[in-house]
Amino acid sequence: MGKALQYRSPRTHIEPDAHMKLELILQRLSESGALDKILLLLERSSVASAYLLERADTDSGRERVTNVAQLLGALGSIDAVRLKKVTSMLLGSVGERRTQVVPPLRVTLKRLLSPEVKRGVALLVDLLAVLGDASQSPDV
Amino acid sequence: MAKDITVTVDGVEFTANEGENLVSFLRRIDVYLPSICFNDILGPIKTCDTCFVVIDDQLQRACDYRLCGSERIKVNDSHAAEAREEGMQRILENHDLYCTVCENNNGNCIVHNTFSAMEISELEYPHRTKGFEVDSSHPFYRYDPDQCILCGRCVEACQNLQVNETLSIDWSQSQPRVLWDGGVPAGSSSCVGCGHCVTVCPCNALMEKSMLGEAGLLTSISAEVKKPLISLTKALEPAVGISAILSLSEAEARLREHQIRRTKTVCTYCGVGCSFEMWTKGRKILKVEPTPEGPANQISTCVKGKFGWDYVNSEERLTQPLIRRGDHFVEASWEEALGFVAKKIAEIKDHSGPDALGFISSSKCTNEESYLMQKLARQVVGTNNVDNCSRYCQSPATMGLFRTVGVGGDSGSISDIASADMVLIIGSNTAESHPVIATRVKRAHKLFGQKLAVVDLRRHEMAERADLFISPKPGTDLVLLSAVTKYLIDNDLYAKSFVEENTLGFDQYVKSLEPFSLDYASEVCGLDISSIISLAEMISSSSSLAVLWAMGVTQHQRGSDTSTAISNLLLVTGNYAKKGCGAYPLRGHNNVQGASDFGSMPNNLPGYQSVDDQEVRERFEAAWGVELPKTKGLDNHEMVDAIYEGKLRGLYLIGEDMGLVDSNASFVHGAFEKLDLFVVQDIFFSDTAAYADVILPASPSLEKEGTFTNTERRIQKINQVLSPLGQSRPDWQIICDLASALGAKWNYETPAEIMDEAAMLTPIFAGVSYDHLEGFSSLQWPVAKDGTDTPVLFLDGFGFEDKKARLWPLVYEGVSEEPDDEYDLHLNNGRLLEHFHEGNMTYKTQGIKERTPSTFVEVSTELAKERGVKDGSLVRLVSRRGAVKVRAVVTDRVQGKQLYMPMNSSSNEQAINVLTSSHTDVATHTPAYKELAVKMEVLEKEGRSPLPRNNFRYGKRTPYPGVMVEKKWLRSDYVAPPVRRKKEVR
Repeated sequence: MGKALQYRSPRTHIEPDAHMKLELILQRLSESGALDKILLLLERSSVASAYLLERADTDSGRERVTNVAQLLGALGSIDAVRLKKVTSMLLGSVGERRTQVVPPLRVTLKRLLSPEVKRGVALLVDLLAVLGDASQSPDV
Repeated sequence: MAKDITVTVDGVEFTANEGENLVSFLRRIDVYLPSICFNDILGPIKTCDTCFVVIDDQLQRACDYRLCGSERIKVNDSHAAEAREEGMQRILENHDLYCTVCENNNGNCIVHNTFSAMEISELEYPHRTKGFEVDSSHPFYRYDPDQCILCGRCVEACQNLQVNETLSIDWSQSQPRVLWDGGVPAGSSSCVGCGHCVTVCPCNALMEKSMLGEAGLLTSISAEVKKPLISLTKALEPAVGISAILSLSEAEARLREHQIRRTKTVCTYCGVGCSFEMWTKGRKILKVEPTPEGPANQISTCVKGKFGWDYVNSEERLTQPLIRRGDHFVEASWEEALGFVAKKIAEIKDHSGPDALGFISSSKCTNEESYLMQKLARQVVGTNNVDNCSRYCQSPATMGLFRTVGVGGDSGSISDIASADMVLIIGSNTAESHPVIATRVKRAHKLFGQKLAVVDLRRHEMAERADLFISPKPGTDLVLLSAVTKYLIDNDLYAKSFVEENTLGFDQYVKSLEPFSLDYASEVCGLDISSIISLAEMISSSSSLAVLWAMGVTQHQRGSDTSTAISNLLLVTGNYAKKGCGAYPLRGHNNVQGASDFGSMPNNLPGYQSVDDQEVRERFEAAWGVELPKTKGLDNHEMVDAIYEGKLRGLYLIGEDMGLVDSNASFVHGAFEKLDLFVVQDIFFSDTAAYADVILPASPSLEKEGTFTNTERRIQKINQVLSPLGQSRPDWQIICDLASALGAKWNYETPAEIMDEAAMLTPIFAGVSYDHLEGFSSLQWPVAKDGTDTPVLFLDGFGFEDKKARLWPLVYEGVSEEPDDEYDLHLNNGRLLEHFHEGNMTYKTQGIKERTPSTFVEVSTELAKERGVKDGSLVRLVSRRGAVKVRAVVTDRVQGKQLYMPMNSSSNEQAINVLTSSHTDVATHTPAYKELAVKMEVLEKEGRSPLPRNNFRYGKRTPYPGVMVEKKWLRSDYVAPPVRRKKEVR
């Protein structure tokens, strides 16, 4: 039995989930300018991109890569096994497309076979693998 | 049934249906053909030029071809392939491919998938900007002209499926783009936010804002960073090939599958029963994606179902039980709260008997929860005092149908409404209250010649579109309907043989119609005789009639009788027991049908099995192991009276803001204050909860499993999308926990087990089981034991033992409250499109709140002139029960001394039910909300309009037949593929 009472529910605090964490980290990277600089450099040319990807395979590069890996690790659902599957699929798919789609006489094919592009693709695959491994780290 | 024909596709013979669309046919036989603009529901649009095939040596668009037999179709033809590639190349001139960082890269992007499947290795025409800014003015979606391929799907959906007629493409402009109201920002247009355009967009030109930055692994990167990343990829494109880049984006799309969950569920707003996939990332709702498999709605939604879900993650959600201690509420554990409730229930039952307790279930809850609520009342406590909120809306319609045809549900399906030759809408603002059903009527009316008549007080959208709009005096629909029926009989324009073969009581019924002459109806209804005859003749000249009605009929003192008059009319005209016709009381809440179906009613056990039927009781008693109460219990309205009389001491109320939505709110509040135990179970601290002794935090539909039954008796499964927030629990679990605290041993582990028990005890649900409800599968009751359901009722006779319908004689006895010298205005009330009911869910969605921040009162232009009222004037509306202060909107939607006030209110100072009376429908006790006389005092002449200027009601629609692709073909820069465009033309 009673008169109307008021109640103000304590603002329900929804725990930030993995995806929210991902957003925060991306935002920080973006705000710090680190990501921007890398990408601006990457924009210059494919040669520069290959160079940068090569640099990524250094100690300082790996550190940055680990940062990125943290982002993906924060997703929680991406494990190394899944990522490797995707990587294999990517490689398989690229290989398949090379043979099926790109006409043999086109310039693009030549460029595809050029050493810097090959190295770039190889580094990209390595990068994905590193991301996958890092996502398994208990620290992530 | 279409005739089988034989056609040849690339040299192989196939059987097809005569008249079948070629694209649909090729999809059915699994032959891949690109077709970007074609959509099975929208039909051919013919803009994308990617579906060329050769038919009997002629190059043709497959989307625009219907099979007639013996065709030789070549898909795998170089000429056709060349034309298709040219079409695709032109599309990519309008669409920048940056799939890996695109929110639409989710494996279902039609442009991406078509491009990928066509294996194009080089872009012929570079992407070019159209020179327009991205339009982000709409609260729920944004349009990026530079990504728009001008396929016109969105236009077709807006013009001819939703039929809001906002979107168009002006092909005469030097640079065409999609236009809103001919060229205003989307957010200031007539767009109602239904989301059809976004759903059908084949790329990312139209995107839900909730997806932006959220959908992909890399989409949250800021635009400043994203741009160089896209440029880099473009720079790499010639080197690595487009296919490698596509592979990367496809890999990224696969990765998204791990972070985005897609869960099928059913909308929790109105009774249409729209189903869709809910895309979520963690607790974040990314989007609602309707699919063609949705049995009630296919790809259609309204603004609430598509975008109105912010309430689920609202910070205002209740997450812990609360107990009243002195003058405040304190948080409690579940054990403590349930223990307290059980103890008090036991005390009241011991002291005053089981009938001193009442139980009110919710039409927001699932069928299983409604079943458990009535079981708790009957088996555990021992009372039939159990009801649900259909008492506030739909009980009169159910009564009218039970009286005449013996089954209280829509007689057909939504598809039957769409295929009817004529639709008559009475007392229903369908375009706002049941928007998706309205789309079916609007489409059939616009495209397929369906006749539309509307009987209503207000000139709402359906009235504006109608071939015949009749506006009788409030509360006189029964007279109009009876006069129309009498006219048809008197002039031998009725279905004589149907009446003779299928009905009883014709002679007595005809005698009862004697008073309803045209002259009498004209005088009582305030109508010209010619308009009554026009309606009758429109009906008699139609091959089939579907009647849609809602609260404008039911919420009257004679709501049951008027519903009965509708059913009488349908019987006399033979509009039952076949497809494309029938009775459609439009159920207001998502599960208002199911709440009654599953037994939360004082007079019926589940499946409308009467509590006074001994055989029925014995069946339930055997299953439940108790003796059940034998006489009808109290309904909601009677419970309030019983509280005042001291007979009802405890009330357990689930998911209903009864203190705001029951009529004569102050009287209801007074009753709450007298209760010894008031338990409110809800997701928010409602106005009703303020009076509670115990508040139990429940979970909304997205946080639980179960089933809902829509207006067409369709049972659909909802799946759990999110975990319950905080300590909230699904209602079925709370009821089980309370039953346990009261000593019952139910032991249900899943809602499926509850449904199995209900099906076992209820003949109309005999074949209902979760096995038959997976995915988008559904069942329309009655469902036979073998799982056969019933989309159309009465094909094997009406719902009485002798299978005959009853013509029910009626008399007209006026209304409960009419304007007089003091209370000189009639105040009509109801819903708005964008708010649901009192608005406790929809006010949590910012985009809705911004555009429609509060309730208001609509005042006619003539009354406004007479009283000096303007848009924004502050007025006080005073009834015999109370007063509210609201701002005015001057409009010709209402006429003369009619006012209209939406029932949503951001505060109870503006709640319509402060004004309404305790008068009810005589037969069912549904409040006569619509019989309300008020006086209006102008407090401030000047003020800000309660409807912001960017509300869609101020938009100017631009009706067109559709995309009008022929105008595109007439452009000087268009040449039909495979001819390539000249470079200079670009």
